[in-house]
Amino acid sequence: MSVEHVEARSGAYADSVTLMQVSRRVASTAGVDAALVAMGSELNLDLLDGMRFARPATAGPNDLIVALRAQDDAAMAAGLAVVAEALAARPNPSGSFAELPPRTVSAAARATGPALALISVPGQHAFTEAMDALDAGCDVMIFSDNVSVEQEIRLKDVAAERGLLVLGPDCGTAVVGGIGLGFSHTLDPGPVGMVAASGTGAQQILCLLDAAGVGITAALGVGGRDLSAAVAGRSTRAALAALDDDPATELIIVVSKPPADDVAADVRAYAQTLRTPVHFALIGAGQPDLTAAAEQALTALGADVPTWPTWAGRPDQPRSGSLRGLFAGGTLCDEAMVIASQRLGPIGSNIPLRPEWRVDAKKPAAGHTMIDFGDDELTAGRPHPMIDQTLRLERLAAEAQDPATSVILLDVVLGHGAHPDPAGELAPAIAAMGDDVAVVVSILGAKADPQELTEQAGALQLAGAHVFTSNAQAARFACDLIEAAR
Amino acid sequence: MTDLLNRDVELITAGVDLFADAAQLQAARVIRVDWLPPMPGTETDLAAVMADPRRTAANAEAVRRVQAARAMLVDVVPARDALGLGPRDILHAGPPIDWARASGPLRGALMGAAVFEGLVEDPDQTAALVERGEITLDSCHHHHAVGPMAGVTSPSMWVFVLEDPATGRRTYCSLNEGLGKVLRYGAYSPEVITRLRWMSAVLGPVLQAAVRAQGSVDITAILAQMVQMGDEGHNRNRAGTLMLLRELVPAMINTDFPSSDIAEAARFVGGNDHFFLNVGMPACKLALDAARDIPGSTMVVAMARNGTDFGLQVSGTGNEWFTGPALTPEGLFLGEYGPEDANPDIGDSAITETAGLGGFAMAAAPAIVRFVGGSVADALANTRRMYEITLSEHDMFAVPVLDFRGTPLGIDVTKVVRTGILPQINTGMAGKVAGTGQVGAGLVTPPAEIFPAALRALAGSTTF
Amino acid sequence: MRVPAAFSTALRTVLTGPVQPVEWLGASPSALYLITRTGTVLAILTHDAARLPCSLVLASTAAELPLIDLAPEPDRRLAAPASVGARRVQWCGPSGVVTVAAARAWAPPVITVGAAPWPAALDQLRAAVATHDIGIETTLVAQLARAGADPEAQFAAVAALLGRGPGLTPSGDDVVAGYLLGARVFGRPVSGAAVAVAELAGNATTALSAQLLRHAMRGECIAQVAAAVAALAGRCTPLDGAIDRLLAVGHTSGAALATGLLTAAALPVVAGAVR
Repeated sequence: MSVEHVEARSGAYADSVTLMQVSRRVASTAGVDAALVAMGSELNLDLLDGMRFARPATAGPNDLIVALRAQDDAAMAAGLAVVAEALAARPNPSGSFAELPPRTVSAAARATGPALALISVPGQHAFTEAMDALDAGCDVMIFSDNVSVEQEIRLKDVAAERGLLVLGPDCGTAVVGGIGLGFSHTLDPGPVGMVAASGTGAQQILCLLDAAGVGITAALGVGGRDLSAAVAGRSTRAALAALDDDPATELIIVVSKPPADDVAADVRAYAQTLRTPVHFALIGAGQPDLTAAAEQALTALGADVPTWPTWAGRPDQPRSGSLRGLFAGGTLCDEAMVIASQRLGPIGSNIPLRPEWRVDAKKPAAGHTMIDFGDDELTAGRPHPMIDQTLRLERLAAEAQDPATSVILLDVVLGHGAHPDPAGELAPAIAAMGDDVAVVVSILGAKADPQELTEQAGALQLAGAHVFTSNAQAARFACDLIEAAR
Repeated sequence: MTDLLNRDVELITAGVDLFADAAQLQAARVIRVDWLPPMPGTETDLAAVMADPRRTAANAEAVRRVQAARAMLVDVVPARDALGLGPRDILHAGPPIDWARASGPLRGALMGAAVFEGLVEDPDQTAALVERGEITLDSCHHHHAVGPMAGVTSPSMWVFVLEDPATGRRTYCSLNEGLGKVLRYGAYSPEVITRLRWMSAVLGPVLQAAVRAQGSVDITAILAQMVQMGDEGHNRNRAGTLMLLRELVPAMINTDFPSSDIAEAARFVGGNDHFFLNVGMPACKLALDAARDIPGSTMVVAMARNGTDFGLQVSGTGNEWFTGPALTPEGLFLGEYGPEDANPDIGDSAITETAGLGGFAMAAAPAIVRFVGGSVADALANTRRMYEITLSEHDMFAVPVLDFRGTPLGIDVTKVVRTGILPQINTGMAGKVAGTGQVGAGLVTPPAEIFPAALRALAGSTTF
Repeated sequence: MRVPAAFSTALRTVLTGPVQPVEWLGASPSALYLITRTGTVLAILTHDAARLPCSLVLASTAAELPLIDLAPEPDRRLAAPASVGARRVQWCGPSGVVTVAAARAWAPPVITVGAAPWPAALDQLRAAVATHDIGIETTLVAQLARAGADPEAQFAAVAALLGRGPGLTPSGDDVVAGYLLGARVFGRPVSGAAVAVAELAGNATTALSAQLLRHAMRGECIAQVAAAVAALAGRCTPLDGAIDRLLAVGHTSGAALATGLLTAAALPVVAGAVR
């Protein structure tokens, strides 16, 4: 007879990533059958229902839900002990530098002076924290998403008035002073400055430059909407100005999905006024792909363009059928769709190139499809797929079962913030597939990444995957396989 | 333009620990904010107020005005003249309240005042007069005045007059009666009335003559000094009282009053460690009144309790009171009294915390930490925690043990709502039964819900 | 314990190369100095120390983590060398193994050639330096000033300055470093001084100071010097702050470096060197 424990602890907050790790640790305790440790949001309460736990009588979004199902009382006690230990193991919130942990960014800045504020609180609170940071004279990087466009504009206008920079919202990546922030990489100093409205697009180019031995001055993410008609490149201009003023920056690359036409014209005109040459890497039909953009930059700097590393897998001859792309990086998905649609025709997607190509992201669809698992619809209430691959692994298994699947295209993004061993989870799933389905992987990683690029690629290759460091090359190779199998 | 690329980058992180961890592994200097969600249901209002383009300048102006204010004691006069009170007008502490909802100590003080003014012979007749409107009640705060505990101020009582010479603005407060069985704690026995009569007949006139002879006494300067002498200006006023006495005694002696009256007045003032409270409070109000009515400002300009409700006023929302049930303080009790004897929080004296003194200056008053909480470390932590919810630090009130850092000044409604940290108030405790008097002293906070209510009103006032 | 550090790209070769032993040169709360068998000095510095071009910089300050507590006791340093390579520096400290991990790279500032100083800015720097003791006889500086562009006189004057003064970075060397850096930015002839440094520094002064002089020959310096030089050349850096920060370096180092800069600025201009 199993035992259950459900409680709502008030005044006990922890971030979702930490709680997911706690849940996972508790669930893997011997004798514990199910565990959920999460804040009591409606979404998590639904999750609780789904796990057949009774909802606690009073549970609000600021209460910590601890729900365990164990085989017996002893296992329950052990599980609860693990919960207590794992929650207590949160690092000292003050770091080692303060007597009392500051509770707001402005309080921290009052003690240390202005710094770069990295805001990754839940989206509905991000504007308040970011404005507080600007008030304290801090530049701000907002990792959080779900910030309204009006709020984004307000933040960027206030920053402009005060000579500060707002990176984001929804800024997945930045490198400042060589420090990788968000989903990012430690990179050497060098001549390239980057302005990015696309997180994984920036990571692709940065990783290729790193492979070519070329470093950067800074990579400044500006948020996916910065070049929209509404936001009109407010942070892009500020970031361009900062990089242009930096004597170490010899060349600037702007990475974005194709911007609104008049915004693009304005930004290009502004770029013309700078002393530093500006290259545009815009992901879309008729534009050079990210790999080509990286190569052009290298050539402009007089650096050699290397052969981008690849690791050959098997089979070379999958069965005839469809291409199924399962992406963690939205821009990588976009780039692959642009390449594949020119070769294979319509690509169904949750972020389709054309509205009529939209498919439901939550279940396999007929034909060639590419799903962005980092899209808001699939990340609401759960960590980004670069951290938590659960959804993508489930879908990978489902696609492998689909007799119409011929080639599965995946991206693997390494670096800080990302899963510590993505290949360790993907490789067994890939190895379990029959020889009639081919798996093609584009892997993004830099030399100094904690996950060790070559080991990750090697593990995927051993499982049978074809591995590329260039996402464009991976997409083309996947198309080659589909066409050859027809 | 940002100098982000030209400086050594330090990080302040709020949110996911993973990113702070990753940055530290890259040898980045990281300060982690211990971020917690704001008070429930406030995120939309917070965003609206944070977006208000007037806010930062309005708050800076509010703080500037508080810092610039200078409180001079310029006169001592009967309340009827200074406050324009009719013979049946009585003021009380906190937001407005009627007899039906008034607490025991407030009722007791009103009964005592009615007897003192000769409006009733039997204290028990007071209720009927108040309920029929034959005695009118109003908040001290509505008359530029403040009163400790029940704060009851009637026409024949004498008040201190404080003035800011730069603006001519004035505030008022009654004379302090001492501790124990006193009117402000709800006692109304004959000895209480006798003392009040003496204060009006002798103490008030003696002080008036002394202050007028002296010209004025700089109360702000005394406040600044007493914070460095172990007073926090709310529950400890010993150094302040003695400094005030030092200023006034020579002039008192030079008055034409009989030496027995002067000696009695000097003994009364010197023997009451809290005498200065009634001068410090109007000095605080003078500074905070200067910061009223600045559109867009989220700074608290008054916290006051009537024994039933806790009231809050904010610069950007005019004279509106945001009220919630007053909490009962926790602390130490006199004699046989215990927690069950204590009335909920009462008095205008939280004006001291609002101005950066009292609980906010707890670190300056190690002598009373046992009385109000515990160890010296608790006192330091108390003051440090208040910096989280304030806009600035006081230019003149410097805390020696914090390396002469200024006390936390200017409670910001947005910061209270964001952090959930409530202002810490040092306070006395009145017995809940009318007539009891003081039963103890301790610590209390406002009810949390008044801050989201004030925030809602601020959000409604935004023009963005 | 394992401490991540940001390393100067000038140390990349030795840090990423094979593991080799390094010996202790010195330790203080804010710095640990080590030297390889081939004479490369590594400085492990706290966050609040001046960033030498040959340093690994930690995230903590000297108050938060006094580095001297991590070094072996002075009498055990000879017997307990450290090792460098494979992206780390490692040794056995008083309470266990200490690993300083080379987590990320930074490029030390490099003085670029050719910008004339503003006379008014030089006057301001001169006035500021005048109130500071640089810790060595002023006659030695006067000798360098009198040498002008004459290579032999420069050689002699620099030879007299090298190693002069107490400590790991003698003031005489700071004057010479400032002189070389100033000559580089202002486009002034210092061939005699350069020869003297190349030939004599290795034996005339401490290993750390000799290495800093080698960096100066390449234009590499601490950020405070780079900012002051930029300010002197009118490159939109506020001058007052730059001078204050330079003079705040070390006990006498900042003032000695500034003295060298001023001495170089008084040299005649090399034709075509300054735009």
